[in-house]
Parts: sequence; C-alpha cells; structure tokens
Amino acid sequence: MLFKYLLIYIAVYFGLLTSFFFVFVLFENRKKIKNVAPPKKLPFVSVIIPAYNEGMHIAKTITSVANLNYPKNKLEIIVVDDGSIDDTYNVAKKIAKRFGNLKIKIFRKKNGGKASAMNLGIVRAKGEFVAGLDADSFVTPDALMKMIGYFSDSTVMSVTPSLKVYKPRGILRRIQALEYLWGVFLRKTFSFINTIHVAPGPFSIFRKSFFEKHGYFDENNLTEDTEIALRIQKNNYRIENSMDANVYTVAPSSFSALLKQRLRWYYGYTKNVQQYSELFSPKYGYLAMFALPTAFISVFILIALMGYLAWEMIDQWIRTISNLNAINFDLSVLFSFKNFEWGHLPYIFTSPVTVFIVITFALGLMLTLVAKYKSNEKESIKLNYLYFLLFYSIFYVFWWLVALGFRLFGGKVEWGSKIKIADKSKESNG
Amino acid sequence: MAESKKSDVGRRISKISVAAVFALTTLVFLLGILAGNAITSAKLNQIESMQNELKDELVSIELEDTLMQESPCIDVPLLSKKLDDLATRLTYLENEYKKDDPQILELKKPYTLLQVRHYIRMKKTIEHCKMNFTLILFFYDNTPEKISESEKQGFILDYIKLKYDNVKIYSFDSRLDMDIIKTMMNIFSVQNTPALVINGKVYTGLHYKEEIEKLLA
Repeated sequence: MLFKYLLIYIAVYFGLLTSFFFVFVLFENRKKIKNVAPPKKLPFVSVIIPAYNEGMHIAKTITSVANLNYPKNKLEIIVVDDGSIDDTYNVAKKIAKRFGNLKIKIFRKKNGGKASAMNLGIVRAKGEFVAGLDADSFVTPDALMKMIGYFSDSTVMSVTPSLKVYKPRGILRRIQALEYLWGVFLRKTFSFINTIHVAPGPFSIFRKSFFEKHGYFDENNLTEDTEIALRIQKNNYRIENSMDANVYTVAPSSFSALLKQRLRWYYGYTKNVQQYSELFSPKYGYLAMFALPTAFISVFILIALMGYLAWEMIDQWIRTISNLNAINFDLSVLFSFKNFEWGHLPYIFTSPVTVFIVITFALGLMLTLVAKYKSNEKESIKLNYLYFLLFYSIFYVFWWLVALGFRLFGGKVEWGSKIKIADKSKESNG
Repeated sequence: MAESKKSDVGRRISKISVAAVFALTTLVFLLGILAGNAITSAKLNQIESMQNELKDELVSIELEDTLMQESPCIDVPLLSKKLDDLATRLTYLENEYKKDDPQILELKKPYTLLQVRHYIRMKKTIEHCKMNFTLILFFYDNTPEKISESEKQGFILDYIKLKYDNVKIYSFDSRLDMDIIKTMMNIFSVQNTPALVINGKVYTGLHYKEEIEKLLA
C-alpha cells in the first residue's frame, strides 16, 4: 500500500514538474510562437520523396508538393523509387507530366532503404535546402512558406513541421492522432530551448551544407530521423519548428503494424541515444539536463506504475473470482442493486489520488487545446482524447517493454521486412 | 542564408526559471496533498457525525424497550438501515486505507456497540413476536494470516444478506480492543476466527454459501 502511494506520488510530482516546465517555456516564449517571416529573396528548395511500393499514395504526395505556395522556379521534386515492385515509378512518371511547369526528377535504384534513397536525392538536389517527404504523407500548401523563414538564422540546420495523422478513423488512429497533437505542442516547446531530438521523415527541411560537412543519412540506422537530429545537436546547431506548418501522414491502422513501427522507433531511439551519450554533458543545456533524461525517466516511472497497478488488478481479479466461486457465481443477487445506495458514489470515487487525477486531466486537456488551436487543427478531438486517456498509457508501456526486451535479449529489429522503406514511421519517439 | 558563426544556440539554462518551475510544482503538489487530506478527514468526520446521530437513537431504543413490554412487536427499520449504511462506508474507508489504521479502528468501536444494542433488541423482538428471522454473528480477524479467510467469509455473508430479507448479520472485529467483544466471544465459546454464530451455535472456519443456507433452512 505504501509502495503504491509512493510510486503514485513520484509519478505525479514528475508529471507535474515536466508539464509545468513545458507551460513555463511556452509562456516565456509566447511572443515567438509566430513563424519567422520568409526572406524577400526565397531560396531554392528540393523536396525529396523516397518511395517503396507507394503506388497507392505517391500521386497525392507529389500533387501536395506541386501545390505548395512557393515560386515554381525555386522548387524541385526528386522522387527516388527505392526498387519498388509495384507501379510507384510509373505513377510518379505519369503525375510528373501533369505538372509540366515544375521540375520533377524521378530516379529508380536498387532497394537499399529509406536513408539510401534520401542520400541519393540529396546528392542530386539543386537546392540550398532539402526537405524529405515520406511517400505516404501530404503537405498543406503554405507549409514551406511558414518554415523557410527560420533558416535566416545561420545556426538553424533543420526546421520541423507540425505532423498530424491523415483522416484519423478507428480507435488506433484516433489515439495516434492525439499523440501526434501532443507532439505538435512538445516539438514547439522543445524548439524554444533547442532540444528537438527527432526530425520526422515527413517534411523536415535541412540545410544541404550540413550533409556535405557532417555526412549524409546513416544508411544502417533504424531511426535515421533521430540520428540526424542528434548529430545536428552534437555539432551545436539549432533545430526549429513551425507549429502551424501542417503535414499529414497515414498512420498504421492495425495493432501489429503499429507495434512493428513502435518497436523500430523505440529500439532505434535507445540505440541512437546510446551512440550520442556525450549529449548528456551539461554543456548541451536543457537537452542534457531535461529533454533526454525525462524521456527515459518517464518511461521507467510509467512501466513501474503500470506494472504495479496491473499486478494489483490481477490480484484483485483472482480474489474476486475466488469469492464468486464461493457463492457459485450467483451474480443475479449481487447485481440486483436493491441495496445500492447512490449516496455512496462520491464516497467510492473521492480519495487523495482523485485530486491528482483531476489535476493531471486538466493539465493534459490544456496542453491538447493549446496544440489544437495554435496549429489550426479543425477536426474535433473529443473522441480521440477519450480513447487516448483510456488506452494510450497501456499501449505505450507495452511498446516500450517489447522494445526494451529486444534490446536486453538481443532480438533483431529491422526496417519492416528490411526492404520496406517508407513504412508508416514518421518520427522516432512520442 | 549561409552557415556562419555558432554563438547562441539556446544552450543556456535559466536557473531562475528552473527554480520557479520546481517551486510551482512543489506548491501544486502540496496543495493537492492538502486537498486529499481534506477529503479524507471530511469522510472520517461524516462517519463520526453519523455515529453521533445513532447514539441519539440509542436513547430512543431504550425508551422503545420500555414500550415493548406493552406492544412487543415494534420494528426499528430505521436504525437497521443506518447501521448498514455505516458498515458500507467503513468498508470503503478500510479498502482505501489500511484495515489496521488507528482512526478506522477507533471508528469501529461505537459501531460495534450499536450493533450489539441492535442485536439484543432484535433478539427480543424475534422471540416475543415469533418472527421467522435469523441473526448471524460474524467474528472476523484482519491479521495477515486470517484476513483472506475473513474477507471471503464476509463476501459470502454479504451475498446471504442480499439474497435473504429475513437474515441480519452483525460483524465484529475480534481483534478490536473492546470488552463487549470478548464477553460475546466468551458467551458463545468462540475460540477461533473467523467464526459464525447462527441460532446460538458456533461454526468456526470458512463456511460456504450452501452450508449457511442449510443452517438457515
């Protein structure tokens, strides 16, 4: 009992601390939430679309880039077909003809993974800036214009967009939609203290010179989007974020696809953080002292708490079943409610922990609403929030346990079926 | 937009901001704990005030006892209902905190006295009015070795109470430091717990639904 309350109070204190920290940072920088205006002379931007078997989505993806509100003579699209076995290449070719006024280069290569496709695109890119766009993601017309201004600061090596789930229908996608919305809030907050440590696959823009000076995407990395962000941080540059440059991505809809994605993200994340462990030095400021440690501490606290609650619940179930067995499962009597006192309800549902549940709920709702309105999200999120509250922490702990299990016991994690590149993975951690 | 100097990339930690966040967190946390404690003490106070109300009713029971000699078949349903209500609330509190919490044990004492008073009153009524009514005394024990047996017996008795309208159950914590409990255990020769006393006979150990129903028949 004491252990349980200790665990709950530690979790609550830690949760409040991180939430207030975010709120504080956001409040301190409230005047900087607005995007930096684009420069008068717009730079040339190359958008690279790495694709593997994305015949279904690639037309929509290319069209969304072609519809970007950006001068066509300052924009090029580079589609890299990473050895697809479907009609990705032909669809891309056909669509390219439709946008004759826009420079669209299409390459076909042997399958080598997303990072290798990106690297080919970067080498062939004409732009001073390169943006990646997974072939199952779509940009909104003003996204690039909202993001490009941040590069007027020469220390900025990458600008991340506001990433959202495309048409979130079904419980799993709705949960992810809310998780991504929290990501919108977190990434903006992180950007103020330069602690962004993931540059998501859908439409993160990079200064091309960074790759030339510090190397291209790591082709053997499971989460190249984390690796590149950590590398930028290690070299003491900035990663910025535009909170309302909306980019939509198709999220996994099945439990197994989602598990596979998360396994790769979390496994890859721990590997990358280990590889860049020097970032824990105080000279990296909030990244070392706050962002990276809290990511791990929150996972461990959640695992401990959920583990304990699960154990307690199982214990309770065993006792209930044993009790019910003692009355031959005669439930009709128990559920007759004839002696039920409605006046007892407040008694059952009020405890010291209830106070904290209410505070946590209120804080969570506040952060969600800030993200929703500041990122111009039009979709209703009520149902998403409900599913998120009910299931997210269970899923989150489960994914992390599987990923940590693979790390501890030497399981092998690959990019989908190794050859699949643009799976539904957009960023490496939540 | 060329890459040049790397002066400020946002690595500076503002000690004042960090201190402010810690202070705010601690403040909200402590306020939360205070609010939590206020809820707990409100609950305990509520039980206490309920018991005070019942104590007042004890006086009326004394008066009713006198009246009973003239018309012996008066029922006291109000007290019975209030006792049940009190028992449920005590059970919630026990589940929320610890069964050996001193405050909860203290709250059980007046409840125990009320139960004994009600038991004596009911016994008289049943005898005088030849009612088809069974009173069950339940002596339980919340020590770690016996708690699981006691809880299971309690669950079975709750079921019996719900199923049969003509059964009244009085539960006594055998470890409670009260002479009246010891006296009752002596009267019925209860040596071990958990134990049931049905129609004056003692049944030690766990008794399942069927056994109890057989005894009631």
